[in-house]
Amino acid sequence: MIQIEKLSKKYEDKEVLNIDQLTIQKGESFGLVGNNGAGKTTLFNLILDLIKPNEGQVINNSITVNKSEDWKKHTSAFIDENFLIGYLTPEEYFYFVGELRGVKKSQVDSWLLQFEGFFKGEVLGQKKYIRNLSKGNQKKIGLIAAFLGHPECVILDEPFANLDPSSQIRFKEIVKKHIENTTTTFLISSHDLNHITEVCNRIVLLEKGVVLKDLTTDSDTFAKLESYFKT
Amino acid sequence: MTILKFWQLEFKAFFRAPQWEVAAIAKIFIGLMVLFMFMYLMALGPGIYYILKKMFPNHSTIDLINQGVFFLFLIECVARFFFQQPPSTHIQSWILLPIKKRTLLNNLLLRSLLSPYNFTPWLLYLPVAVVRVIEGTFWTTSGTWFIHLLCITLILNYLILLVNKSNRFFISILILTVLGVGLEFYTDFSLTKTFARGIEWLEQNPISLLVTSAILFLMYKLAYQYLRARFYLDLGLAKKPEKVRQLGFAFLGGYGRLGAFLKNDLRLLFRNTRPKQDLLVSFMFLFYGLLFFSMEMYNTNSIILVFASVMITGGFSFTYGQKVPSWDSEYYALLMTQNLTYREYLDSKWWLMVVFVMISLIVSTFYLFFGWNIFLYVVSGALYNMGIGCYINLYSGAYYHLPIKLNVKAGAFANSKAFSLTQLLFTIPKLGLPVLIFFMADFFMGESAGFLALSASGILGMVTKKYVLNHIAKIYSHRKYKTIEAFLKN
Repeated sequence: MIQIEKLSKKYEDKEVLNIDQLTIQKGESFGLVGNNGAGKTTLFNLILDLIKPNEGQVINNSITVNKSEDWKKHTSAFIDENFLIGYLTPEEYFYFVGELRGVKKSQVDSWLLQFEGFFKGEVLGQKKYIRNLSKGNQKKIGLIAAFLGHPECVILDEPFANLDPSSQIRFKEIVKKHIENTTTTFLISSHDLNHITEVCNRIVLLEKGVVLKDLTTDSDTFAKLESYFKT
Repeated sequence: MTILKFWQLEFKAFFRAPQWEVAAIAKIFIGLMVLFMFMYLMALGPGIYYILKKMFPNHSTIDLINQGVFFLFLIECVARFFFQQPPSTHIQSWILLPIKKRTLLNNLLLRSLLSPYNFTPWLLYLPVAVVRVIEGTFWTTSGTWFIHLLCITLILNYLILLVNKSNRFFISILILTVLGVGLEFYTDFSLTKTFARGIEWLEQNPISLLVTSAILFLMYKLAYQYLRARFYLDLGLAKKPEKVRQLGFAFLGGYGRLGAFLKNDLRLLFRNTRPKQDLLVSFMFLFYGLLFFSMEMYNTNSIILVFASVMITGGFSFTYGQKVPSWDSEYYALLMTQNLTYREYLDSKWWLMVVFVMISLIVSTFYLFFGWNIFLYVVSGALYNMGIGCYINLYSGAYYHLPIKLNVKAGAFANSKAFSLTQLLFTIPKLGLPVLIFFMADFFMGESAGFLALSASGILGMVTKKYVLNHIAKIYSHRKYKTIEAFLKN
């Protein structure tokens, strides 16, 4: 699904990311961990063509992301609150994103029903602009919008941060159900080792922009990661 | 923690704002512009003084000036009511530090004096006071006059804070204005003349300064108590709850993706503070023609007429178009990862501007009052705006990288912050091209040919839209990373 080749990003002379070769298979749920400054968001931004690599390239479904924009048709992402439109109501936001992904208003409405438990009645039908909702509810909107229109590849940066505990658990269920029932490829970064080992079947550990560990998730993974972060 | 420390931070906040990250040459230019503006304003007062003196030699000049000051105060009230920022915006980071609330509040209230509205006495009234002394008024009288006006300005500063957007205040000002106009026209009583006489009485009795300054002090105290009582996160420091405004653009739903974009842009315009300010400005552009069409000096000069006509219908496209990607700066990353092309993006912006040109054209039918000939200028100007003007604005937008905070009011110099040599260069074709097109045809074949040439250029532009927008889209995508980087800095 996604191939990374000789990818390097520098700010001034400091190299913040350097990945020689990394391939993410279709249907894989790919987890990214690492301390602050390890290059997680930089990697996602490069995959989404939001920043320009100094060297190398990202190929998404055999499309080089900085050469053609066709990858946008099957990829969606939620990185941070810059992905929300503050002056829209949540419904209007979903309709707008839906329109861009070819989902009709009525379809969006019926599709949203399944997330009512996750929204806890605090998001839809509130007659409030997104900019006036709490951080947690804003995040829920962005996360769910990333699932709209059945994208083949979903990229989520720190999806669990800012969510309350029961919402974290609910969201984990949503992602897991998706992984079971569809061939969607997930790229998820998180500081929560528990959640990420539970959700992802492959975990990559970044340190200072370099891939340090590349693990297939099994019963030892959590312990391995924990021992790395302890030192 | 002293007041001094606060001001040090204030200084840093000012000079470390992202808008200062421009080339040194631009900084010098902005500096010169501001200096020029100050000098211009300072010359204005004495200029008017001498003009009035010459025009009405039998009338007391200062009495006329005082009548004018009355209107200035009225305008100031309205301007302050709409545009003056409440000072409590970035106090939150201080509340928990070991600083007395008293210090914080006093600092806040003193800081509010830096608002540009409080410069008017120094720039406008002080030069007049100096001129009066030169012209023979005793300096204490002139000084008393100035200090009174200064005090009134500062009283207004705190009064606006106290009324805090209450509509009742605005309505009272409105009623007062209507009443004043009514009295002026239908009775012998004149509010302006009474005001002028009042000011004169005050300057004749310097002891009255005690009263005025006491009122100022009282206002300060009231403002202090007002803020003090609301110094909690859920009171004065809380954001006001907003009601969702449904705008009834649902019919646009039938127009597919283009409709979705237009709907969004209209919501952007009507639900955010900053674009609303720009809408107001572009509304003012509609009346640009009144200035030129009514004066004989101008209304025979075809070049000036073309210039004015393009402005009348192009106001929105000028103010909105040149900031095109910036309007979406808050969520630019979203748009860049969605399934949409720059071509589509620009197309919807173009349609929005065209719709506004058309609305402006409909409203400006009142220019028919000046005759068909003038209206032909307006119509051909509108066609030019649709077919060419909009493109130039979108083109210049590609080089405009200042992020816009949509729901924050623009400060006094907000537009000069975006100054760059590129933007300056773009004003040449923006203003010059229509004049040039008209002039060339007019010169060789007369006025009718001028209208035809201007309209034809617009129609040609609309016909070749696909090609032109593709070209502009290339520039946008070429500058994509730079734009994203600049927008993420906000």
